[in-house]
Amino acid sequence: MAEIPSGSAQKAVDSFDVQEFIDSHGDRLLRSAYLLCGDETEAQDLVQETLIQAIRSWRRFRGESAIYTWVHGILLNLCRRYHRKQKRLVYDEELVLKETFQSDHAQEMDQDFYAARLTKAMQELSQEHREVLILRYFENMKIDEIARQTGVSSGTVKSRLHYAVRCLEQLIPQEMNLFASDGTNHKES
Amino acid sequence: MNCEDFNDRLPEFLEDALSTADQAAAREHVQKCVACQQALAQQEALAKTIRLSFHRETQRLSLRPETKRNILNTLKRPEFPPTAWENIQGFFAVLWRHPAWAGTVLLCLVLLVSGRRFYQDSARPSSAQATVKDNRITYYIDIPIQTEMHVYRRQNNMVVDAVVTESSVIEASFSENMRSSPSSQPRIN
Repeated sequence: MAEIPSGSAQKAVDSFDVQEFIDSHGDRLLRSAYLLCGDETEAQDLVQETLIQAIRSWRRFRGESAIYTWVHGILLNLCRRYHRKQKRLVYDEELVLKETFQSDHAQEMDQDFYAARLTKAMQELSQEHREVLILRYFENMKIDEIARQTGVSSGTVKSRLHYAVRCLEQLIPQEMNLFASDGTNHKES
Repeated sequence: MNCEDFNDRLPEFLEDALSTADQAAAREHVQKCVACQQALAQQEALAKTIRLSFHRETQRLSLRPETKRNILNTLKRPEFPPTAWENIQGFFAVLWRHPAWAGTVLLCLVLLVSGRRFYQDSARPSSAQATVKDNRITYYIDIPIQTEMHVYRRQNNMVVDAVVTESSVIEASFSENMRSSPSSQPRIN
């Protein structure tokens, strides 16, 4: 894992390790940002801002967690700010989602379609519930780690996870059978 | 361990975060209980489905070269110090996150304002006031007057006297022409 070198910020910028830092964390952060905000262009902007903030304020990193976890915390804060701004835009996203699903329903229900449907359903969850799902199932964090990262108790994390999963089950059509205990429609890739 | 306990601790059981004794008790319970076996299988299927969906939906994403360039170019530019408005915003953002600090700041403000008013009130002269009209200055002063009154009354064929003291304040004013010496005789209202 790339570490930001010691020295001035200008020196850090000019050094090779910044490039390495961006290369090693950029893609993973982008994927997490995409799941959090649901838009690739916005995700690129969010990751750009995250990495700039992280490199500029790297002295504040106290080594209490992995550096990726620390950078991801910055990303979470920026995503929250992004969603607060988005709340001011009023449009009928639910209608768009329904239309998309109906028009695509006749298509072959392949695995990519399930994944896209699940990701779209994620966007209907609240920011808090989406965060815990992504930290748990994308970042593979443990309950305690999620609690530290989001600043809530472990009990709240478990409760949010439980609620988020129940919501997803309601949002995903039954015929997809995504959450059946006898297996999934996906194959291991 | 019963079914309720097992379901409550299922997330920790899956991530092997229970104590050794609890983990063993949970494993023992799930081997005997069909309902909990199904719950466990459903949780595992759910986690697998969500992880695969997230992976499929995001595997195509990578940080664009122009985003990387933007990051490096931004970092090479000198960082401008925050403006006064940004500082104010930052201050209120900190207060918003820490209600105890906000309460302390509010209390300090209240004490500051009330202390200033108290100081101004105590520093103001209590009686002497002056008004200027038609080239004449009129001074108003409060004069405390104490009067004693002897009261005689008959009680059991004896004359009893008492001294009653009354205090009052009268307002006196005297004026002077701005070009001449002040009048020596004050006028009592």
